[in-house]
Amino acid sequence: MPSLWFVVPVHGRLPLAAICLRQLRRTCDALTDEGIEATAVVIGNDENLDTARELGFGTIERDNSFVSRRFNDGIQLACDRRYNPRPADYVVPCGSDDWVDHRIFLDLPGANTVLGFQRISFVREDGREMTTRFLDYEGGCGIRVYPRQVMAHRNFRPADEDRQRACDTSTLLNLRKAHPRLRVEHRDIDPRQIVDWKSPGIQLNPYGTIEARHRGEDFGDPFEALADVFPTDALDEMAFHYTRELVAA
Amino acid sequence: MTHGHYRVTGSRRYRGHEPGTEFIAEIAPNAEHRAVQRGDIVLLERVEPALLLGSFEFPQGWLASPHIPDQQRGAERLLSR
Repeated sequence: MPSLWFVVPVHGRLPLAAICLRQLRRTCDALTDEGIEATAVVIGNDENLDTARELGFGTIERDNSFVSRRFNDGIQLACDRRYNPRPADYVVPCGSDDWVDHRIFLDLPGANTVLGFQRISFVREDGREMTTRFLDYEGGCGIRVYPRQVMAHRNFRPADEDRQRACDTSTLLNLRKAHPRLRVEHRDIDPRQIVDWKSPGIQLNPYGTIEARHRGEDFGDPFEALADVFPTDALDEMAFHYTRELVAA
Repeated sequence: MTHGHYRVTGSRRYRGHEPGTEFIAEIAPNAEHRAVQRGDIVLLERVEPALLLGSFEFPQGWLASPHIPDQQRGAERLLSR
């Protein structure tokens, strides 16, 4: 049975991260039921790690100075035999505000290939609108499936150690330099295959910027649009979260 | 070792790092030499970035068996708390 680890840096945003980690638990279990042993490692230094432990995920304590260093930590624990006697076959960097449809991981890539996703949906900061965008970059969005063999070319720490953003670009560029035969394949099964839940406050990429920058289409109510892709429990929990946030604002 | 632990010593930011701060990065030898000569940074030591020992825990059951038993991984069980 192939194995796959999601690598999830976390910092603050406790209620949203908890909902997303619970949904990631469901995703991992769905993959395991389909014959892919899936789990996650969560990297941070706050109460999010307690949630991760309760869900059976691995944890790494690391300060929030550099996001890229936390991704590297997670990838190293997943794949490096010097730390993990049973290294994972695949690793998937993932945000703590993302949901992923497990079906996009069912056909895993070969040893020299990275699997990327160019279609992704974003939910507005107030939870009342969703837009689907096509990211016309080679790597697509930051969620990608990397085989362990690919990560070995950078000693399992592929990103520049000192980045706060664009960690996904740094990872792919550095791996390309180290492994020129690397290929990127894309898979897009549904515009709602990956959902990025925006929240009020500081955002590296706010909803309005994304909507203006990339081509795509808008949905109305995200909870209706996602009803046949993600579990009702998860959607109810997220809808309640946005309602509570709006009331608090 | 390919990485360096640096301190920004100049009056300007370097690679986005503020003066007086420290960072670990892989800087090409020529670029590093020029930056040090300009007084932008100083090399504190060569390092190999790595996980910190004692900082991590494996996922539940990961090391115990090659397959995770059903009773340990059920989302329903974990999410019904």
